[in-house]
Amino acid sequence: MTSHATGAPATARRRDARNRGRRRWAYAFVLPQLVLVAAFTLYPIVMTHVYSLYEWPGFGPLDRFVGLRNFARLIGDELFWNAFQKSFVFMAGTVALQLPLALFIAILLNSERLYGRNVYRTLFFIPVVTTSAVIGIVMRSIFASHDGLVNNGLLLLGLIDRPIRWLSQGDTAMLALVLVASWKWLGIKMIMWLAGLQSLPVELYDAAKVDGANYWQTFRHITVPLLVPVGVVVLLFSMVDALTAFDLIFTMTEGGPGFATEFMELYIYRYAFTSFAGGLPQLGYASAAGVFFGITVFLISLALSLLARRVSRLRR
Amino acid sequence: MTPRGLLRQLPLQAILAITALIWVFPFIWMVSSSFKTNREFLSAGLDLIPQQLRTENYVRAWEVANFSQYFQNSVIVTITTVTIVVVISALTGYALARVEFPGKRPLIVVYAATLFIPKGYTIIPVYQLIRELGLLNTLPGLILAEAGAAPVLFALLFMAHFSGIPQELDEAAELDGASFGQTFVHVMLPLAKPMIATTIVLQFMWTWNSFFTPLVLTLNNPDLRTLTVGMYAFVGEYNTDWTGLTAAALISIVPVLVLFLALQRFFIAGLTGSVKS
Amino acid sequence: MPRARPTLLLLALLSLTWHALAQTTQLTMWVRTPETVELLGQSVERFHEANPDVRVRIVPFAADAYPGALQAAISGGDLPDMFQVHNSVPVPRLVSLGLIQPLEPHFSEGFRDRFDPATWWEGSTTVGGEIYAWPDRSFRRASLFMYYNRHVMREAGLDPDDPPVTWDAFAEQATQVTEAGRGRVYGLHLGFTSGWFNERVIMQLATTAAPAHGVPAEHLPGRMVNWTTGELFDPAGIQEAVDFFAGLMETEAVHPDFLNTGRSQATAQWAAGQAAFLFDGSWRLQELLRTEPDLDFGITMLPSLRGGPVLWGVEGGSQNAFAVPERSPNVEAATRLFEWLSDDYYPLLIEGAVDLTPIPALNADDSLYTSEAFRELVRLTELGTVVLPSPVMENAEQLETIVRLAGKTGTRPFGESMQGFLAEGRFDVSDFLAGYGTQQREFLAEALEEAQAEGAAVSEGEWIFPDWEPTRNHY
Repeated sequence: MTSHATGAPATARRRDARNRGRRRWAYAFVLPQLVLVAAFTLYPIVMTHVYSLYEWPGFGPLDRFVGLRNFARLIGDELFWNAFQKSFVFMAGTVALQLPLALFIAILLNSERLYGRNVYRTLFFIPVVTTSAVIGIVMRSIFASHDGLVNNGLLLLGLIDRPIRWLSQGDTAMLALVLVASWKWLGIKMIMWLAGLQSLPVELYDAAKVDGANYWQTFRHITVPLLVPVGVVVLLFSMVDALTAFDLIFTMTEGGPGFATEFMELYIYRYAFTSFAGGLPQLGYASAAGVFFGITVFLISLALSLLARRVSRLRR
Repeated sequence: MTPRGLLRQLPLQAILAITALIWVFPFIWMVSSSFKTNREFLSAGLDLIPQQLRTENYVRAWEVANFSQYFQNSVIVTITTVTIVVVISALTGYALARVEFPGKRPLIVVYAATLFIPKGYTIIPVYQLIRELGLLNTLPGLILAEAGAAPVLFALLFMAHFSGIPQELDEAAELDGASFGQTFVHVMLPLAKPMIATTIVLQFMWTWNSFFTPLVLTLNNPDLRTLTVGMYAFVGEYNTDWTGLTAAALISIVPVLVLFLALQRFFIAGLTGSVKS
Repeated sequence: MPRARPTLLLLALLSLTWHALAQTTQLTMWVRTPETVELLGQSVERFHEANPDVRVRIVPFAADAYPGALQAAISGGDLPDMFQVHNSVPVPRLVSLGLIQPLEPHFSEGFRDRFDPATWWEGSTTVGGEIYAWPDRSFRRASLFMYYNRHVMREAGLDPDDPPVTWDAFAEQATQVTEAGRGRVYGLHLGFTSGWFNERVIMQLATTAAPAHGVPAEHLPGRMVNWTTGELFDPAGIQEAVDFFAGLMETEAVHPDFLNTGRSQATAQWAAGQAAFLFDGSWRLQELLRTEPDLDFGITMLPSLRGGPVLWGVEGGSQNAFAVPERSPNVEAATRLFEWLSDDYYPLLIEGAVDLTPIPALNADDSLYTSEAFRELVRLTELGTVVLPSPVMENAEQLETIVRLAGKTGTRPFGESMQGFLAEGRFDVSDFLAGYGTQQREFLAEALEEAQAEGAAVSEGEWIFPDWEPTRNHY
């Protein structure tokens, strides 16, 4: 923040008047978004917390207050913990795959002199702009055991000698989802890395060249440390993306086979909106699951941000 | 650039070309499927070359599935939403970057926190709110809900961006007699082009692909459905129309892709700026 | 200004609608059964000609999106003039929440008498004896069948007119098809991905495996009531049904993608010659007749362990009836439409090979039947679909128990679990069945208790029918 402190009281008074005027402007500027956010983001979040204390199907009077009983039930449900665990496995998988790969491609595409740079960037970006649900439906065919594109490709290359039943087994279904989700969202991570790379100071590289550092040394000692803050942002985004993924999984595996890929969002959806086994939706219970999971995610993100801050402070 | 330059890039180009080909292969497959009949699609899933180039899937997607109507709705909803989001985010970002006012800290903290709290798991409060406003089954209602649910991330990015612009600039403008608002519109906004582009591309993408909100908010007026919702007409309990779906999906990708291409330069620059700060 | 145009357009649109509203009554109708959308549309067209003052707009829904839509519309007070009920919110519940209004007063004299008397069924179409919902078809609905592709059977050296009846014969023939198909063709295909469908497949097959057993029913999803004992879930036969699938998977007699293929795709793949047999709903028939005119196929019962009928339980009334919201001012026009549809649309159900109608005289009209396959479907339905006993018929206050029961679901849904077991190759499901059964027992006890707490005079004894026989109709 810049501040020009002067001693003269007259200037201070004028500054006060100006500041008051500016404050009024500031409130006017902030207001429109505040109203919208309060109505359509904060209010639903608050209501979710309220619902979590009720037994409520999502309609009719909200009159069966149950306190924390929904949470108690949640903790006793093994499928809740299954979903909890599966969500984090999926997140770990997509993050581990996407981050380095996106960085690698970003580095390749960062060169000013590369022919067809924009074409490549666009190609890697196409999956990002395609509706997740359609991707899920198409991928179902592509990962099919009978005549699926992936299996036929692997057979052709001689990597396998019989088709893999990708989506009919829990572990491979998870793997397929991780692959597809990483593929779909890599483009946006690539752009973020690219942005990070372009913000690196050129002088440092020139200095390194003068010092006779080779490419790998430059990368190891200049690029990587400088990219850490960007990396944290990319990481946080990938995590939140993965933990809130829904459409793709819903259309590609529907959480199956069994509950092998039933992530938290699908678990919540199942209780909130569907009448599985013919019962009423249980929005109160679903909200409790959402609140519990939301708090966990929030705490993890918070811990990560603090950790990142500590690390970058240590470096200095 | 010289042909020699290209020659030197050859190994790199080869790697990139192969990766990119694998990357877009599902789309090549979709394009080829969109020219097939459903029967052809099922019995020869792997043949990339269709027996003949049929455009009837596209015609079907456009006419039978009421796509022209949905397309128009999508365009109206998305453009309006994006405009609103850009304006309100830039306003908030500028105020946060330039003025110290009581309540600023808490506001930033709350905004930052919402980024990592998954959205409310229920659309019911939103639905009830829109109904109270009398906007159920209308495009303005849908636009309001979409714009309201847009991430405040953009406001924070704008804030970072404006903080990076030297304060002397607006002070000079104000000395010339410009008001706070005029300074914002005439001096600062033009400097925020990269951020604006970033917001446009990301928000466009999200709104264009949004499914659940438009479905629920237009329950009783299907003529107001958006493209993404309409696409589901092809996937039903009856008769999943695979090739029609692929054609429809390809049609729906085009606008976002065009936008990305057009704004790509600014888009990356915008993110670069925000990453820096 | 890019923003001015949409606003203008919208205003124009609004004024247009307003204009139209002033002259005619606009009715909106939500339909969640895709097999009837087209037929309803045809009939509504003709209704418009006869009633120029009314406009009906049909809004079709994907089955998966419907419960969520209904939930939102109820909570927002935005129900359309006519909507198809769904078992997530049973009719009595809609009535007790004050959400729908009685139709009885608006129907003309003698309207209800033309129907099969069991169409008006307490807790389904009527509450307190008054009609609250108009049935879109007969309560005597068929469920799952086996479709066989004659062409594929012939290719595999099987007699195309002699589809297998028993499990053993089925396994043998299916394996033979797979062997002859050399990795291109398989014996059986089915879309085993939705919980409710998986549940029906396993439970219906199970009804053939044990002499005394429960029967799955449309109105009691997730349960398999043995009415002799009043047990909400009788697991007899389920292990055998799972073993039947285990055997088919072992010999690769079933399509390798059956656990991850939706029903519509499974049907398309079967029709394209990837499998000889298909397990799917009766509702698939009309689609096949319409979209695959050249396909040489037949329809028969699902295979059974010993050759007895594969059972499916129903009650009177209708599971897909249409109701009119309490606040709709257009109830008069809506009932006029229902009466029209009862004359004009019901015959289409038979002609279109969709389902039977609630009017016996129409079902008996031979001239309406246009396809042999549908005739066969009707014959099979008579063998396999049974009307189950109903505690509500014993004691109307049991309605309270039924409504309570609808809110209770196990933590491990049956159908999804079955998919998981088959995928993992964990074919011994006895632990699961024991746990599931215990939970269901508790649910009934809880529901009865809650109903009693509400002041309903109900007892567990009213759930027991000592002389019940699974294959006999009760009403």
